[in-house]
Amino acid sequence: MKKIVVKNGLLRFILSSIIAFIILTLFCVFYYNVPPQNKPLDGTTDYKWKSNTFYSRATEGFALGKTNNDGYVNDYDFNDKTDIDVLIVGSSQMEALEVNMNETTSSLLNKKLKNQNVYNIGISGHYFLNCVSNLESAIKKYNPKKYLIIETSSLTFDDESLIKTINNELEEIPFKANGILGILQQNQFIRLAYKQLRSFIDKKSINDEEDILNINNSSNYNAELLNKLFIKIRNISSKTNIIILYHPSTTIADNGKLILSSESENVEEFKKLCNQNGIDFLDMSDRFKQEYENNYLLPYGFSNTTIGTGHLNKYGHQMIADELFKIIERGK
Amino acid sequence: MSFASIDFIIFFIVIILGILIIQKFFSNRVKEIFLLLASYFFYGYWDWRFCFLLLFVTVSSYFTAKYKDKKCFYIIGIIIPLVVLGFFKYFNFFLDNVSIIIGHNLGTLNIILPIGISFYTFQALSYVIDVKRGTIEEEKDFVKLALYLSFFPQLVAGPIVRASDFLPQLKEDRKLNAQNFKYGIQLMAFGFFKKIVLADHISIFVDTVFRVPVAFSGYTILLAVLSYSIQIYFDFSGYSDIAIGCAKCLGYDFNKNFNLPFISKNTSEFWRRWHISLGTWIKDYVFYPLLKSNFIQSLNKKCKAIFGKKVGKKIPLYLSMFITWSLVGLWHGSAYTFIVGSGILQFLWIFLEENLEPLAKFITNKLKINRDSVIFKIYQMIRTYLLFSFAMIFFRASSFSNALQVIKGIFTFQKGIKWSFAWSFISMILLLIFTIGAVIKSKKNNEKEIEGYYPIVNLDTVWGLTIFLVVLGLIFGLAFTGEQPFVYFQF
Repeated sequence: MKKIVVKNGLLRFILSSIIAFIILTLFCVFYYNVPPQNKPLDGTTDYKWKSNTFYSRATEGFALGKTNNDGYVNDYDFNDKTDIDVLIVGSSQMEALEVNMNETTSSLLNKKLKNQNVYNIGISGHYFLNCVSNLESAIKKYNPKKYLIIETSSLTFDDESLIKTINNELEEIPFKANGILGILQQNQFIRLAYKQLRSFIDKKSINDEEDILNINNSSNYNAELLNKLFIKIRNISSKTNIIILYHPSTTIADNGKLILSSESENVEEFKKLCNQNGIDFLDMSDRFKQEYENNYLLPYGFSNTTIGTGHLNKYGHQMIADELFKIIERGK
Repeated sequence: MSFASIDFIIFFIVIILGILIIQKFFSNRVKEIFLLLASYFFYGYWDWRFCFLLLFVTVSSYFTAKYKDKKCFYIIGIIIPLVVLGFFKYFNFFLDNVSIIIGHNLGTLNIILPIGISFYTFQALSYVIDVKRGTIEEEKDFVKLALYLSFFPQLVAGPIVRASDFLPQLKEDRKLNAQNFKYGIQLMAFGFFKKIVLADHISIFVDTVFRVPVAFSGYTILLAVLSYSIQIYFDFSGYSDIAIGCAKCLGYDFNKNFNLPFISKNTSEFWRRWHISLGTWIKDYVFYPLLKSNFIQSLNKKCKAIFGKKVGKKIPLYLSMFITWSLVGLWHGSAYTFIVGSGILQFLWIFLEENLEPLAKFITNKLKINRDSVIFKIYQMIRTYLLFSFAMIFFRASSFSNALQVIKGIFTFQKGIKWSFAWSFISMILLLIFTIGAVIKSKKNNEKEIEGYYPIVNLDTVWGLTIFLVVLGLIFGLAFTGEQPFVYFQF
């Protein structure tokens, strides 16, 4: 390599910094490349990703993919003529930036349900109540013919949030792509550095998009308010079947047994409330336990971070897709 | 204050700026006092009460060395650091054992283990002994001695710096200058890469598997065991590199503490390359004095008389080695798992390697295996690595039953979760690349022994500076950001 001699120290530093910045940005194209956020005008979610944008993730799992023209993670583009049979709404678990595009629940379900379109508008930070808040707009835009699937990893809801959601007053997820922040997040290295710096300062490992799952020690919800919420959901999506997909968090106990957060949550009552309102409830607990005991497979975690916690891995998506498929097939 | 924290980076920048100002406007004396205060601040950042303990050890070393000719002072100078170490580190362990022996639970005291106590008490001991032996002159300047014992880069996790190496440097006109800084900062970066990128990531895997080994497959447990050796190497050698680099930035030199241990062909060589400052300390202040002690000498005579010269001379030697290695194990921690893992098993490997060597030679001769061939050397390296890793199961395990679960899991090909942890492979590959680099470099320079090296670039060139900045960016971007203290802090 030809030796470049720049005698002025400051100039040398600036030149080197620019080259180093370019190299690090190129590295991030494949290491941590999250699309910039966009504000959807249709209100289907609080935000979505920039459309037709390549993404990669090696900070949790190893995955590559591309958002569709609508700014979500799907195998196909969306246009006014697209007939959607199954609509999935949910958090980063359904968005699935940590697994390859062909390993996500929506993609797997799409393949299983031949001649039916499964469309996924899962997006980071959109927990159950956020999804319900945006449901009316989502149903209006995508108009699913057969099924609406709402994903959740927790059955614990505080009264205040439930009331706000019922009254359409739930706060939106703060939009982070305005102004300087928006410009800066166009560069992936700056984005990675910001994430790292924040974690360093907090001195805790922050997973991508603040979407770490916590094991709930106790379940808590007001059944009356929850019932009202289900009535609201039912009214919004009156023409389609609704499935609430519940995938509990897992942890491995010291004796090697798998502990599920569902064990400490009031699942039965939740299920009863769902059924009263004509909503199917899919609890993944048994399948998770069975896969662990028979095949030693865990639904969460990756080979480069932790296992048993974090986001759904390809096995987790596969298990969920299988179980959803069974319900949909049964309902035919 | 841990090196791997924002607090330390701020602290270090303040120190650098402070030294630059002092060098410009004040005398060397001010610099020494500034560094001493900074070191106590660094130490007191964990718990200010620890500073008094450090000061107590310093004062005792200062005065006992001053009156070295009086035997009682010399003995006090030895006993005080040992009592401090013994009380804070081993008292509860002692109580536990007495409880077991007498069959009555004596309970334990709520003692906080002061960070780095094993390191500075050892430095204090070596100082007093060296003064008595006449290896060095006693230090008349209290500030200099206090700075030697508390100098923040090496205070909490070594390397164990000898007074004969450091005190003369304080008398020289050592400066923080561009040359030292450019070199030191690169050593620090190298250390940070080892620690916060490699070791800390591996720790997630190792911690999980060792917490609940029954859940994992034999393959995964084996990978965790092999990874732990690499983790502890990157963790501790990373810390040493940061310490050496930090001192270098300020104008001071520390000796290398690790020298490619994983290329060792036997356990003895391994320990000459691993935690070198502890190895040489133990040799100089424990093993040789023990070997020369009246007890071992008289045992030597008796054994020679009973078993003959050849076998008889080996018994006291191995007994001394056994005692020394047990103490090495005990130094690492007040638990039998440490004594076995980093002590007795290491002794056993050395004992077996030495005594089975004739048999090994006989077999290789019979099989016409060239012992000088590269393949045979690689086999020896792998064997040494595997033996070390096996011993480290006890070192890492929370208890003997935990260690046995780990061993059982491996040897019974236990069924369970399969987890091929990516960072383990990345670390192994990087280690291999650096080792091959060191071998090539040593061959090129016709060095007798393969020596480790630091990948230092010339920061006065655009490419050199670019590479350095890219490395810094990668360290920051890839770093594990969770709480993961240096492994050797606990010692």
